[in-house]
Amino acid sequence: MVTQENDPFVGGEGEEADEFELMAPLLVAKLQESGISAQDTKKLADAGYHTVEAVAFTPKKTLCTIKGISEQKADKILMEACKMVPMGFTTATEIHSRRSELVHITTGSTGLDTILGGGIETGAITELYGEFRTGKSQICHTLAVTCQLPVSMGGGEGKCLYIDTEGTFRPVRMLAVAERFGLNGEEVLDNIAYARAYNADHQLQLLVQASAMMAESRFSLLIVDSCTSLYRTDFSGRGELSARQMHLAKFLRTLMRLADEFGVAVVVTNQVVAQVDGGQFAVADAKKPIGGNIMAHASTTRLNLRKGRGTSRVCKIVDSPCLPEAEAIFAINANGIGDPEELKE
Amino acid sequence: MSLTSFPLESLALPKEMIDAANRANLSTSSILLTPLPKLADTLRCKIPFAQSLVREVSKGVVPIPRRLDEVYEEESGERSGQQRQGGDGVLLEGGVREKGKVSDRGKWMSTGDEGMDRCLGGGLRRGCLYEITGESAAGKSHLALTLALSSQLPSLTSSPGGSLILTSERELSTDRLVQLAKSLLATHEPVPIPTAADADVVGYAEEQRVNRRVKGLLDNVLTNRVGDVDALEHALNYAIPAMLEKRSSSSSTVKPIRLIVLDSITALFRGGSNNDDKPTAPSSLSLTERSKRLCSVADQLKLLAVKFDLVILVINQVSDVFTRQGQGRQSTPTPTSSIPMPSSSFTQTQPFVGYSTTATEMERDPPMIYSSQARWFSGQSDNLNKEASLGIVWANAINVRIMLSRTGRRRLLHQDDLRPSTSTKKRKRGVIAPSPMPSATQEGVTLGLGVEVDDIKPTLIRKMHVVFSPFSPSSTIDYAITPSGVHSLPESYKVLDVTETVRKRREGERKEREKEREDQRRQIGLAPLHPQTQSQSQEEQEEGEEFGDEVFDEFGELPAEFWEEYQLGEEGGVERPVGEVPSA
Repeated sequence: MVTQENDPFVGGEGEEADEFELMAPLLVAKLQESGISAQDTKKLADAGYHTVEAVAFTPKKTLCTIKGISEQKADKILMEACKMVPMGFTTATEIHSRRSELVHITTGSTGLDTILGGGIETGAITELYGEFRTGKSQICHTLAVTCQLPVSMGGGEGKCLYIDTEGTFRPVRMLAVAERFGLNGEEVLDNIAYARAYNADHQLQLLVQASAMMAESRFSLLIVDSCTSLYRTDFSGRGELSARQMHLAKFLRTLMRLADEFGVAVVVTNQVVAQVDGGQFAVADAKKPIGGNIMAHASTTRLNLRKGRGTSRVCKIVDSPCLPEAEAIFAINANGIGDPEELKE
Repeated sequence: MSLTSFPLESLALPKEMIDAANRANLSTSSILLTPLPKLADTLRCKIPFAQSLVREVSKGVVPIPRRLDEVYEEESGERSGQQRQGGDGVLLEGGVREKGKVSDRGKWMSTGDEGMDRCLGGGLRRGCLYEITGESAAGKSHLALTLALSSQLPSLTSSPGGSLILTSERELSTDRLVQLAKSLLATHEPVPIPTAADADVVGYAEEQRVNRRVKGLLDNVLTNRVGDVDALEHALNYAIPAMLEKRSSSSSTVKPIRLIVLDSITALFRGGSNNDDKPTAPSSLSLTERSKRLCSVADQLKLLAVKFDLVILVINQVSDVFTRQGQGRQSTPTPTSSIPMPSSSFTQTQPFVGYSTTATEMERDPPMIYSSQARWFSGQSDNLNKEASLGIVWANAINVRIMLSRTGRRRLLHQDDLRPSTSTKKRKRGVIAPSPMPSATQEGVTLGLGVEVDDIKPTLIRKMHVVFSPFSPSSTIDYAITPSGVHSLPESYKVLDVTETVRKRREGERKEREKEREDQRRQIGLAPLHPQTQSQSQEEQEEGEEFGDEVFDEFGELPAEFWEEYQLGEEGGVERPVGEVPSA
């Protein structure tokens, strides 16, 4: 009876499965040993909860819907069930060993990959922000191809979903990148699912279709370029600010859920706003990413892009749970993102 | 304390009472709360019987009050020795508990850094609910990771134990945890390495030992994801108490849990219900629902803290503070047409929220509205126009609020900066004091230093602001996040006096109003009322905070050449040799 909706521990299922291999699931009748009456355990069994584990992971509200189980009884049953069953707390050591198997998608530039710890992390949201012409869309185009490479070559071995809001999608760039990695251009383009969003609500709806597609075949990357441009035009004025942030929060939560459920890497690009009233200490020409605190907290890793000399660009890690603040220089070449010329020599 | 946690069977009642109650299917709460006549009806008995039942149940349920001097004796008895510094909760000048006197600590858990301990009044205290709030990238989760490790070290706390981290947004990041574990062990519990003839063997064995100890620390950090408020309540009410009981029972071989971290609570309450088709702005109904759940979560957390004697740390996020329309000396645009631009955190020209600077004092905002009251507890300050989220309900639920922020200033740090100054006068700029901790002491024994500082690139200075706490005055201290963890800059400790700040603000505003009036009069051609005010204001403008050798560079965007030429101190103290190009 434990479905995805009423399992309170999202993402905790894997650990329980491992631990349960060591012991067979307990029948719900075992609860009688802790003082639950036989009638109550029969009612639970009749409602479909045959094992103690099934009961332990159900929210109290759902248990109360069973006829004959009052709130106090549900409380007591849950307390006893949780005592009997290991509740799925994993140690950091286990998580650490799992993280070493995490797939990183290469960006095409060795400098950038190094500071990111191997590339763009799957299962997390990476945000790229910077002014125009700093290379955000270029990185997205390169990633759309590298995500299809096998894991041994630094890729993600999966398809790519590209949601475009600004109309900057250029398949011809991807053909050039495909050639660089020795892939067949036609197949590479076939593996990229493209959608154009026209307003903020449409953008959110596309994610519903996205999850359906991801359930059918293996995707390794979801790109939203750019995530916030439609919000800037659809919602205007201070009066609509909270509505905008609620909508954006919902969109980002859905993205996070997709990243968790399907293990895809999510890359979003963001626009910046100029800070006109810098106050006492402003650096000249300071730029801040839009989206406010909601955006800031939703993305796992934030990368700040700015223009260097010529075709080179500088990327700086601004917010990351585990990577130190570091900068890397990369270049925008004809065949995608790569290392700048000086380093090659 | 929920009455359902007092099942009838646990109370020492005479048998016929329990039978009567069970027959009528009554619980403890219904016995106590039903009016007597109705209770007698339900039990099908006479009123005196019902009365004596209620009396017996009440006796079983009531908590026994304790005298304050008993509590005091108990707590000071925990701290042996005569080193008591003025008693529990009283912070003397420079009242920091001496490191190493573990028996003095009582319920305190040191953060591992003296400056921060001082700000907090001794560290984190078991049995209390702490909140760490701040913008993104301020270092909240990082500080929580550090504390999850320092709670396990016997040199920092009298009752070490593991920790439990509940995450709501993303999975625990363990890479940094490993790095922090290594440096914490090296700093606080270095193990003397016996010299051996073969340096390679020693190196390898030492590495193995360090790895084993690090794994030991990580094994005691438990974690789980909670996707929404229901999952959190389920965990707090059932799963976590069961796990805590198991671990703290005498037959358990593992350490008990001493710290629970919830990272972050805002994501659970802010995302809105997942069942909305079209997300809208929160209505008053949904806000009251949110308040109700916040209160029940806070209650449950505090219950766990007291019952199992541990620290609860909740991580919160911030929202921007908007100055109200019509306030401030800048002209504000009309509400409907403009795109809102919340004051950036670097602005210092905004007046205090809640105070308008219109001509008459009568038009000041009524004191009981949220924005007037919020400045005392929400973590906003002159430099920071952000306030902690979740409003007044949550602010009343927690015991201590800590606000972390990035100051935007960067400084090239040295190891000496991070140690408390041993001399009374400030360290002269440019002079390197001899380091008090040698890297090798007696022959054959090497003590780990542990403190690493990135001295190539300037480090961002961050600020920790204890907004309110029952154990220490409101204060701020600057700190930096280095490869070896979190280190405060000891000279930056400052106790804040909020009343003083407000008084100065009012003075400043009054002077500004006078100045405006003077300007107006001068424009019209009248003589000034107060001739002295002009020179006074000029003097005040020259005062400013000195930041010395720090540069304002929030995201490190100044080019590398800038940092190359930048030198600390005029006496040629610490200079980077010209010609050394740092790799970008």
